[in-house]
Amino acid sequence: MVVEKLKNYLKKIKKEDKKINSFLFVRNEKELLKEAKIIEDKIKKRKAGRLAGYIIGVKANINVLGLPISCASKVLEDYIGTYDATVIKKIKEEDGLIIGILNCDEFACGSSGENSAFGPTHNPVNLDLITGGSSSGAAASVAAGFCDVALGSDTGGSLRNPASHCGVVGLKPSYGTVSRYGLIDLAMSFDQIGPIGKNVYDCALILDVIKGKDEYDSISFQSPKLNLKDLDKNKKFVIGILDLEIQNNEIKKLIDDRIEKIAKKNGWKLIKIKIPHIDLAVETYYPIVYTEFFSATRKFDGRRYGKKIEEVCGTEVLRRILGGKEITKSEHHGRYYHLALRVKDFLSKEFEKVFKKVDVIVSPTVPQLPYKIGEKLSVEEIYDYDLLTIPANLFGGCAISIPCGEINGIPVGMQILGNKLDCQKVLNIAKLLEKKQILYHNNI
Amino acid sequence: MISEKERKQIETESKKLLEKFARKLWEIKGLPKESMIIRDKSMRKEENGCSDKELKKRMLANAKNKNDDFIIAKEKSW
Repeated sequence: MVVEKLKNYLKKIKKEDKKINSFLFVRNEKELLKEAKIIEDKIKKRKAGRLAGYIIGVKANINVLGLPISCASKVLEDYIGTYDATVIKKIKEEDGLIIGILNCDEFACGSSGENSAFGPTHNPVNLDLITGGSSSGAAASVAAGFCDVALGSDTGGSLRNPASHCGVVGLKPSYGTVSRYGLIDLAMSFDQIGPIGKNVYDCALILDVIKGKDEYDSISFQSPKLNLKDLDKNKKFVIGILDLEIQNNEIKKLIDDRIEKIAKKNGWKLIKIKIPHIDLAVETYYPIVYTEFFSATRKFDGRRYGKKIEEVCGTEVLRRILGGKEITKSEHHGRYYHLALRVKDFLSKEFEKVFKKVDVIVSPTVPQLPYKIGEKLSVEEIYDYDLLTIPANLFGGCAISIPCGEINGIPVGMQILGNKLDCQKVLNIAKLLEKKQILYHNNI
Repeated sequence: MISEKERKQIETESKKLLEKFARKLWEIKGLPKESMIIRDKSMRKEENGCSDKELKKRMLANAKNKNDDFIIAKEKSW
């Protein structure tokens, strides 16, 4: 069973991933088959863990012992993970099988999947289009049918954005729910590891395995227990519909129609909500990210790890480093970073007020459809793709993107955003909204 | 490889972008004077720190020369 599934995935990767470029490294076949056989035996003896049978890809910024963790960058091209991140340790303990390391935007800097030093990831739905990012390989590999689930990271939408563009499910847990130990950081006050899967249940199961307090990550905590059995139990939910103009009205209409239909069926109450200055989420987020990323990258000085980052990195990484350097100059004290932190606090309080009235907030995941790989967009136009995903990171809430439908054959994701510690509610509502899965990998 | 000219251009663009962002944020009325850490129920209790004795060893595993606590390297010989 596991061996057979693994063989099929390996065959599919070998045949089709040249066109998609989702994997940076696939583990040795013999080693994998040996591990799959052990798991299969455990299943037969009824001694297997909760993830037995799950074949899992891992984004190239999460440490896995003995595997190349390059962050899709020339800087860490030769870096081999010297330990397992806490999430990896937990997955292995539950008999999940790690198949390989996945492509992403360099150091998770990007929302298109084009910024990898090892070439862009192509969208399995339409190979000419971007996958979204930064967990591009994670979304593409699941959508292409190369693995069951993938682990990625989300700093401003990096799980939800590519999940939306590739027609799969992407879950960002509340900040602190999952240990960041072993994650090579982009912006430590926003980063969270989470799953991308084919359905809500798989993502919930992975979250249940990887969450929890970890002595190696001081911000991690024991979040409320997840009840996976009751995921599709209906309650009288109050759903907030985010009242915000976006570029693509077709996307907004698709989301609104779907939520209205399901709300009517399930007896949910819908409320239109406005959050003051949420349209400035991008302007708030990037100064903080630039500053924290600049600080995080000081260790890549060419001495301890790999090459000196400024000498070999790509354009977006350099932009963030130079921007962060500028912000941290003493003469700018309070002008950028501190101001952005104040707006972050302001927005967090606004969200707190809203979550007293509603259970979750629903919106499109991405305000636009994916563009063609190589298409020239301004920096601001690219950053705007994160407009609707960033708020969850700013206030630390839980958010999921689920496939909601298509526009001209391109998948569109719906985002369900919940309060801090409300992952159960978010997963519950997502499960009730989930559509029958569309298998995009049949198109390849 | 990014050229020196391109690097300058990226730097200038990045500064302009930050300035533009800051201008928009300054217009928000009613901002708190200070940003603060909200210590709610999700915060952990201070405990005794990390108990893993192997951690240091793992953190230094990639270093060519090291002692028990530090990476050893000679200046300008990286």
